[in-house]
Amino acid sequence: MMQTFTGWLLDVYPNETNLTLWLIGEDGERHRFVQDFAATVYAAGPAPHLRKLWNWLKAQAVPVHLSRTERRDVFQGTSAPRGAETPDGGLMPPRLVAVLAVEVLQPVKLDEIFRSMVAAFPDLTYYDADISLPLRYAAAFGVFPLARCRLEVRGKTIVGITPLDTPWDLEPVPAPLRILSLEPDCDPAHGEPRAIIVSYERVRYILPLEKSTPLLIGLSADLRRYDPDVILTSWGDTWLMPLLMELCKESGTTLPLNRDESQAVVERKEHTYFSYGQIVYRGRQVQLRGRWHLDRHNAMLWNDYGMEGVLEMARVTRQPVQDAARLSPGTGISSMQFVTALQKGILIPWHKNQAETPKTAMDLMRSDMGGMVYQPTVGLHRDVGGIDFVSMYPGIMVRFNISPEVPRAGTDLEPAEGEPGIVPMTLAPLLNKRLALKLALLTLHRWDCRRPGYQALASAHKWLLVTCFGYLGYKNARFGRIEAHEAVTAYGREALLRAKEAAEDLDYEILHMYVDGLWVHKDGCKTPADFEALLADITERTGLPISLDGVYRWVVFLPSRVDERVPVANRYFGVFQDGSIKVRGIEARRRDTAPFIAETQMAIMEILAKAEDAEHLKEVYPKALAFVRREMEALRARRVPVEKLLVSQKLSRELGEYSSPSQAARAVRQLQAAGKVVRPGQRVRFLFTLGKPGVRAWDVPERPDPRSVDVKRYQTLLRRAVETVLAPIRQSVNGGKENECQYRFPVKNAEPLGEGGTQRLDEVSISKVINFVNGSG
Amino acid sequence: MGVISCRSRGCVGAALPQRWLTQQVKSIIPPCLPRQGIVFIKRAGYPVGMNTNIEPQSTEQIAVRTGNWLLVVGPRAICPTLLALTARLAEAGPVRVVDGGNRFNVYTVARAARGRSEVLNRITVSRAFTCYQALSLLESTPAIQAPFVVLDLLNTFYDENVQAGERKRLLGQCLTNLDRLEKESSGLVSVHPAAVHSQTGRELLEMIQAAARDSYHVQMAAPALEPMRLF
Amino acid sequence: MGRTLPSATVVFMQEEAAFARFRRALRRADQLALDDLFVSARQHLAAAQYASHALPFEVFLLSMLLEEHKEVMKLRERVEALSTTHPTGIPWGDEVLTLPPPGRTPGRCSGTFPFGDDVGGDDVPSGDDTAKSASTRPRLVDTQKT
Repeated sequence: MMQTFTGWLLDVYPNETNLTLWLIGEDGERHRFVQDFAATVYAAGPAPHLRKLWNWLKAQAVPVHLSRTERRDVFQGTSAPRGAETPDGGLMPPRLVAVLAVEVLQPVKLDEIFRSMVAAFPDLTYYDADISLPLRYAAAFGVFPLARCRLEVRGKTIVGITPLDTPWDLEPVPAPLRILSLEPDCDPAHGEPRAIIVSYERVRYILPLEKSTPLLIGLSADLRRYDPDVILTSWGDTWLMPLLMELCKESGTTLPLNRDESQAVVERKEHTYFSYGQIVYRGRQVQLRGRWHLDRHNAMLWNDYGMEGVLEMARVTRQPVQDAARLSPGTGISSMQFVTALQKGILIPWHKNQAETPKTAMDLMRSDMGGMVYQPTVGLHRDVGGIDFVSMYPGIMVRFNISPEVPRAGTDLEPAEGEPGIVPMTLAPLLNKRLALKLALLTLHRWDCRRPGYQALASAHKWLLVTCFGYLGYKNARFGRIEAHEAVTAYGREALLRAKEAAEDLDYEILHMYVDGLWVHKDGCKTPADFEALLADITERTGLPISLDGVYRWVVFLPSRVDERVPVANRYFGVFQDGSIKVRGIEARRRDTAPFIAETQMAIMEILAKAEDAEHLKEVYPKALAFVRREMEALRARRVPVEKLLVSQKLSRELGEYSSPSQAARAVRQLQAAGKVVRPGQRVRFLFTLGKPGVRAWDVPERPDPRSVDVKRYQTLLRRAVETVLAPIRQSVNGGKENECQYRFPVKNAEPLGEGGTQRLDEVSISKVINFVNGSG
Repeated sequence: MGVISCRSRGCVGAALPQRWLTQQVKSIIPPCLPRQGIVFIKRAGYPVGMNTNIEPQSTEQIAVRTGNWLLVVGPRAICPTLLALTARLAEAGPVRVVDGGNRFNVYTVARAARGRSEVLNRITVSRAFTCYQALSLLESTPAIQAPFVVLDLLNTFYDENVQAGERKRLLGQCLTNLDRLEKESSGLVSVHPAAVHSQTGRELLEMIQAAARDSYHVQMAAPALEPMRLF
Repeated sequence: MGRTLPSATVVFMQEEAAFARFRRALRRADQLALDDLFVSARQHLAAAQYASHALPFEVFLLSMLLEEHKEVMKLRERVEALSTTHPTGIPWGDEVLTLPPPGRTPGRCSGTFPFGDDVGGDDVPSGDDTAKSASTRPRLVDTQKT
């Protein structure tokens, strides 16, 4: 008997015969269903080989359904001449390939049968081979993690499933997730944890580790009673979960970590491998079935966007939440492309064979470039407008239809002809959502409770969009192509140069340019409205949306640390008119700086930011100096907590490969002596200490003696960091002439200034953007 | 330094400084051969650091015979020489370059060609970033009468992301394609040993050495150039 | 990924290093002057990269020349400014100082480095301020429009 059921999709994974799905029902219960699902792999090649494959497959134990068909391979030539007509007068769709479709009826057997297929027939071309089951399911039914769905079920079997919302909704109906948190009472890398802290809803208690039986019993009871959807841990992948499983094995009991106790907990071992000159390290993971295990310390970008961001990543990329949390944005983009391809019936090649089309040496010279990175006018500048193209590279990909399978357009800023390629098709809804979110954030009140949530979503989108360009040129990306990547940068350079020309035609001075942004100044332009004419002109000339990041009260572009006469592209700091600070490239932003130094530097800037405008810097400057003196004294008197002096550096190679060990290497040696393993690619924390070896690793069992800290060294580092910020300000304060390094040819400008508007600039630009993406602008 | 030279019918001789030779070198070019398909390059030794009094000028001349692909095995430092070779070849006609290791620094080639764009426009280059791409590029290179240069062929084959057996299969197909190409034109293939030693890496190197009829092993006589300061 | 050509910065450093022997044999003071030239070429690396010139050193030379020319213009203006404000203090005759304007009238300028000592002293009268509005600057013949 058919029933309807509505709920949020929680998990999809294969079982012995078909797929298991878990949903959170509207009734508040968690439901498990099964559904038949076939995963299809395609093979192409000479007809006799395909026939042999057919016969071979028929003889295998794994049940498959075979058929011959034609599907689109966007990288191949056509099977019929392009534009040829079919008998009924329609046009032949291009690039059809004759393939053997292998439908694997038991999805769990897919990997196994594919691997043996390849071993037996290595020379055939395979498609749709290594796409994960959750992605296939998502593409087939238009669902995604935490999608609200309506199901038609017969008993426990799903007969039909329809999504009721899309990944692009700004405010979908939220699922009532139950989250149980587990964490050790201290960082296992640093000390020996003695207990596990369990918390959920209003419950919070401690389970001592030494009594393992009561611990397992207590945890087991909670898992059954509370039945969480998410187990959120600290160090769960690397320490906590393996420990729990070890305890279970020793005592012979089991923990109901999986909701689906017929399945084993999924463990992935740690793995270091050498790939293209780099050492890549992937840590161990523990994933559950029927519920999610998320490890705060093993989730990509958790600090950036937290759980909300992880869920958004999963929604938008269609990856299962446990994967979305751990995998890079690159895998996310790749998953999105796969889903688009599957939905459009486009074959996904198993190996990327596409290689670069030969070009002449001259062409290579012209195209093998990145974005334009200028040399700024070093010094302090006042009333500077920071303008940026909105998501420039993704915008270019979408607007100008840049995709591996689309033939290049001409050299002017013109879109490529023909239907949209896979890359723009995949990106367009994401870009749309990002822009809609940006607009929404602009209109929300500062204290609106939706802000943090929206900001987490925006952060997730930003990471995906930032990655999609790099992914376009990635050698292993199925839908990547170096020519497309180069086309994007070429369009980007052209757009930036046109923006520069627009600004200079309007009598602005260009202070700095960086890939997709410019810093401009014009006497008399102080408010956002003053820049509107420029923004409109740039959009007109380039076809791309551009917005005002803000107007700086003042901004300082710093020179090279080594030679003051040499400008450096990405070191600056400045204060916007609303008092917020923007910092790039100096100590406060570097990952290896000790927190004390970074915080002092930021604190100085906050003091300086209180000056209403550049004229008032003289008044706040002495306050900044006084602050520095106090901090320096605190350092000298050893009043700074040792944790704040930790330096964190990456280990770049195996210890044996160092000819003279770096600071990080010396710290790692100490860790190794204490029995801890550090792999190349991982970060190590240490203090600078007196005498040899000059460093003291942090994550060893013994606490370091505070008196061994090399105060002089930290004072030097502090002094350097402070000088970076204060020197240019001091120069201005002492009556020096800022903004005057070089002679500038005076430029005549005949064009009159445009009209200014009074609307809030950002809103106008953003709504223009939305219009353009929707095709109406 | 042994020199053989022959001036009859415009053919060229080959000379290699004694210390550059290893036992793998098969034969010095026989005295008389048609000019077509032969080229030689001259390489100047770089001064050693700042504190030498003498400037050694070691010259090396490599010859590429018609109907053969020549294997050059050596450290990465020989790359600029090979790029200069490419420029010389391009002075006579079109050259196809397959770059398997991101080595094709156009500026080095341009310098050797003294900036002439007509020379640079005769060089077509395509880059492979995976071993699959390397094979695909060789497969799509047509067998015509224009020399080909394959730079750092094994680089993409050292990637452990691809199974060892698969890599060997692909390399085998690459070698087949090289044989196909050499029927119409001469070529040069360079390989460098892997940065990280592995069993498979050694086996791949042996495969390609076995397939080559002529191979030169180059050892650097002079120490490496002073490393560049980074600001 | 995929970048084969070295960036303009790397090429620049290689070109600079190629002149290491020349530099070494120069007198120390001349070495510093040479360093100045290379520093001035560094101001225009972005344009050098975009130029995609087959022989990058030619573009670096042009950049050095560009900066030299700006320096000459700056000095020319200063000299003219001096000649108008201190007409009697200069021992040599007026005719040397009234340089024919090279098709343009002088605008505002100055040339101090922000963090180092003023090169050559700064006796341009104070009160010159970059933050003056554009309208006080005389309109000039445009030389930069392409």
